[in-house]
Amino acid sequence: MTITLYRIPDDKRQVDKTLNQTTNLGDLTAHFKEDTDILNPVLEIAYNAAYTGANYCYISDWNRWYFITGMETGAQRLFLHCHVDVLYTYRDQIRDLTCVIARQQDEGHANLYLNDGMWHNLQYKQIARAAFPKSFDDTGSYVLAICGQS
Amino acid sequence: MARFKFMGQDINIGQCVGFSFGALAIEENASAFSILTYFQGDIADGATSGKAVLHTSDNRGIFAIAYYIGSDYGNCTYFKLAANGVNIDDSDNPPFRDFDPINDWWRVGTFDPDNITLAAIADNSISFYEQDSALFPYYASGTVYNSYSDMVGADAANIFVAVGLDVLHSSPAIYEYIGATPLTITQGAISNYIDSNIDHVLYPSYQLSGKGFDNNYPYNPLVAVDVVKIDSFERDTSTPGGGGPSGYYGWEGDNIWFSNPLGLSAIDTGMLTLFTPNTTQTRALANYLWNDNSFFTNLQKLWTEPMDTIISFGILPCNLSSITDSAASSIYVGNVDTGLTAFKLNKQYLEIDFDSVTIPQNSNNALDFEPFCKAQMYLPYVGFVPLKINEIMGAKVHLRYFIDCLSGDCIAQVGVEKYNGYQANLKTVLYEYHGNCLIKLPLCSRDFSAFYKNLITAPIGAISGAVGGSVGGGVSNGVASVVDTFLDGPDIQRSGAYSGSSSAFALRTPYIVVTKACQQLPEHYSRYVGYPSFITYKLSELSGYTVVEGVIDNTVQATDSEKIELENLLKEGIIL
Repeated sequence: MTITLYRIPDDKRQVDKTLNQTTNLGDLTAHFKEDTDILNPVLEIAYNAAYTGANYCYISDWNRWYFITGMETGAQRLFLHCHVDVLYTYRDQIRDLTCVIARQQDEGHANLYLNDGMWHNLQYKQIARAAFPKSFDDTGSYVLAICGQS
Repeated sequence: MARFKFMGQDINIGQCVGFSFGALAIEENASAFSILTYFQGDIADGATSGKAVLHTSDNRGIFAIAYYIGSDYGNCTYFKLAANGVNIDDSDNPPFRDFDPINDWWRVGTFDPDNITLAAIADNSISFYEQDSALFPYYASGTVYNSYSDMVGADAANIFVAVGLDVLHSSPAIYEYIGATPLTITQGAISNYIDSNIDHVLYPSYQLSGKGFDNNYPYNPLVAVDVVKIDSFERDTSTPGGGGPSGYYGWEGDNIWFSNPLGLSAIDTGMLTLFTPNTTQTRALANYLWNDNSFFTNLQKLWTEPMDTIISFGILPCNLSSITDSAASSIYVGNVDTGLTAFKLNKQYLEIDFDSVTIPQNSNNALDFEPFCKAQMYLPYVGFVPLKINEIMGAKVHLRYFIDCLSGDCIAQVGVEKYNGYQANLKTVLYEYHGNCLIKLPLCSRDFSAFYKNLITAPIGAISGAVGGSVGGGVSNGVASVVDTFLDGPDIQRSGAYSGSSSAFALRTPYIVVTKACQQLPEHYSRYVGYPSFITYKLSELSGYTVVEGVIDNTVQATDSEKIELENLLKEGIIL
């Protein structure tokens, strides 16, 4: 089967991957090393030093995208251990999902009054003081209480 | 998220651009303006119907100032919310020079000029002006302005002028607007809307002197001046599932404000008289008591113990002129005319209003509230008492003392006034504490023995008991509070008991201390940690770092293993 190798710079958590001419290392024929799990296939390709930099691939037969998690060489062959990238493979369907969002990068989608236990605070505190505009009299008044009515 | 904007500046709920309930926006061309009311209620952004409570001071109106940039005149018009509807009226066109004071200008005559604040925004610079009835028109920092153009510059664009009044209480009823389209009001038409909710009011502008009102501006202020009506809840606007705060209680209950002392007092009985002699009069009395033989000569004929005729003598840290007779009265001791005079108190109880302090909510997030923030209040002659920061944040805290001039006992009442979109209106006395502020002065050795005895037996470290104060802890009743791991350890006792003459040295200015956590917010925090959300969204509406709490319905057509991994990844955080 035909696979396409890539060398991508993206964070694994990123849904969209940077797939362009720069990151594309080329199409090539691959075989399965042995009975393999579609989600975690081990692919066998002809050895080429240029391919050793690949970290991502696409298997068109299965219409899935994979991270290359490990490589082995032997007898002029290169063995690619892969794991399915569910984020990119199902990116369109993922975007159609409706979810309860716990945290979000955009402050516009945030509830800043929510205390989810992830407020990181310094040990020292700010201390603000606000005096009332009026106070007791500085001089005072004598008070004399006498029996009877004057 | 709906925000209130004035000329492109975000104004958050709780922040106020010089107004309590209404604001006026003037476009650059000043062809029309609108009045926006401050709502507490369930009105969706841009809706044309809904319920709200209008906030206005009783028997006052919602005011608008039409000021046409470049014109020499501006007319003052207002509409007044009455029990049976809204009436509209207008004032005379004030001359450019010699502006009338605002209470004349409005022609209502029921205003307290001290409660009026003018805010002007020009070119994103906000200036606040306090009206002083002695100096007119408005001034800032001692500068007198004769016109708005003088204040903000004749060529300033996008002048926004707001007149604010202190909100005394909310409208007595909920008015419901049931119209299908935004109100377009022409002069006089507003009186037709009886008991109608004023969603937003459009008022035609007064062009120039002599041209009268132009009634043909039914424009939508929400669009034309980039103003978004305040949504009292930060609602999730995506569908389905809302996501904003729910369970709005909706029951505001009653306002319980400061009380008056009892109608009866010891003075009314005639059993005793309270004097407030000045220093000279006090010395004269001392001379009469101890140096003038006539005192003992006369009193010994009537009393076994002449000093029993004098009940007490002391110093209060107050100015008693407000409850003192205007003319001095003769001092009769034991029914014997001493020939001396002093000013007599006509009331036993003195009320001292310490005005108010506003606790600003400056973070506009969870850090403004417990457990990240806490507050204490120093009450003279009571001590330090805890306040619930959740109650006072963003609120006006009023303080009032009632003092018994006979015993020196005092009650400090703390009232909290708060109008906040996140909770009901609040204007209630929430705290009440007891203390004593009388410095007792002995008149003879027997008095001093009792005085000294009280002094050395006064409990050390105790604090005057709280009247209905916080239960179960806090400085006010001397019990250490629960350790607060978010803040600075256990509460400490900041004051002790006041007795004897210690009241003479106590701080006399009440104040509030707010202790607040300092957030450590690294750069790019939002990209790697994000902000708390808990709102329902479709992921296509979002971008950037996103952590999912739960998937409403995982419809991804993948194997179970992939679905499980996908949900785990969503909960760990992905970057859209």
